[in-house]
Amino acid sequence: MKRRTRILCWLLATVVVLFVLSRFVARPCLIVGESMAPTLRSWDLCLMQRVYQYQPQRADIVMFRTADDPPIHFIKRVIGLPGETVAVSNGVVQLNGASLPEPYATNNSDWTLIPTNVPPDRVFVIGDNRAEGGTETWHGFVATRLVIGKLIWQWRWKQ
Amino acid sequence: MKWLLRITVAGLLVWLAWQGWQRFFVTDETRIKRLISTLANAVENNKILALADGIAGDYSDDRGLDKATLLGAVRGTRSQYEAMFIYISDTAVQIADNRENAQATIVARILTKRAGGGSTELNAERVRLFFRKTDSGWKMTRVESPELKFD
Repeated sequence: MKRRTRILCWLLATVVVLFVLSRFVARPCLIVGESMAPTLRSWDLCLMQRVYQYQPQRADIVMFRTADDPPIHFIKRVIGLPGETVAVSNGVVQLNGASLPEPYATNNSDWTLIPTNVPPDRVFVIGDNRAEGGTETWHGFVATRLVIGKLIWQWRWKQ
Repeated sequence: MKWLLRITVAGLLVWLAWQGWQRFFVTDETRIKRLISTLANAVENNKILALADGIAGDYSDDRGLDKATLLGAVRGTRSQYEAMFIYISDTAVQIADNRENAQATIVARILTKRAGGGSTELNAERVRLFFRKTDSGWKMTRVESPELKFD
C-alpha cells in the first residue's frame, strides 16, 4: 500500500474512532453562560462522560437535554434526589429539613422555595451561581432519562 | 483497507450528488434554511435593509415587537457591539400541509464583542420562527421563545 493511502486510512480511522468515542463514551463541550460559576465559567472546556441510565448522586454536575426536539443542552448540579424534600430558605438549600452545606456555590438570600417533594425519576438541579439569580441558574426538576452526561474533566483556558 | 477507501469515495459521491440535487431542485425547507442564514448574516453585518426584506409586514413576536420596532431594536443592539457572530444549529423545519406556511426551531449561539474593547460574550437561545410564502418568496412572520420541557 502506498504511503499516502496508508496515511489517509489512518486519518480516516482516527476520525471514526474520535466520533465513536465522543458519541458513546465521553463528549467534549464548551460552557456558555455563567450559571455554574465559579465552578464552570463561560469558555471552559469540559469532558462529559456519556451516561445511559443515570443513577442520581448528589453534587454531580450533569448535562441534560430538553424533552422535545431539537435538543438544547444544559449543565447544572444535582441537589435533590428522587423522594427527598427540597426547600430553600434565605438562599440556603434544605434537604429533608436539614441544611445542605454547599462550599461550591455562591449565596443568594432572596431565594425561597417551599418544601417540595422530588418526584420519582426526577432530580432537582440548580446552577452554582446563586448570586446572579434568574431563571438561568434556578432550574428545578429534570427527568433522569434526560440526563446524558456527567462531568469528568474541565479545563479553563481563558481566565 | 481498499474497501474503506471505496466506501469513502462512494459516500463522497453520494454527498456531492445530494448537494447538486439540493442546488438545482431546491425544496421549501432549503429555502427557509437559506432565509434563516440570510437573516442571521443581516444581523451580524448590521444590514437592516436585507433584514427587512426577509420579514413580513405583519410581523409580530412574543415580546410585543412589530416589524418597525424589531428593526430599530436590532439596529440599536447591534451598534453596541464591535463584532457579532451568530451560529445557527439544531435547525428543524416543518412545512404546513398547505405549503404556504412553515415553522422552524433553531438554537442560536451569539458571540459578541462589545464596542470600545469590551469583553467577548457568548449567549445561546432557542427560538421558534414562523414563515409564510409570498409572491416574493418566504418571509418570517413571527418569533417565539418556546418554553423548555424537562419531564
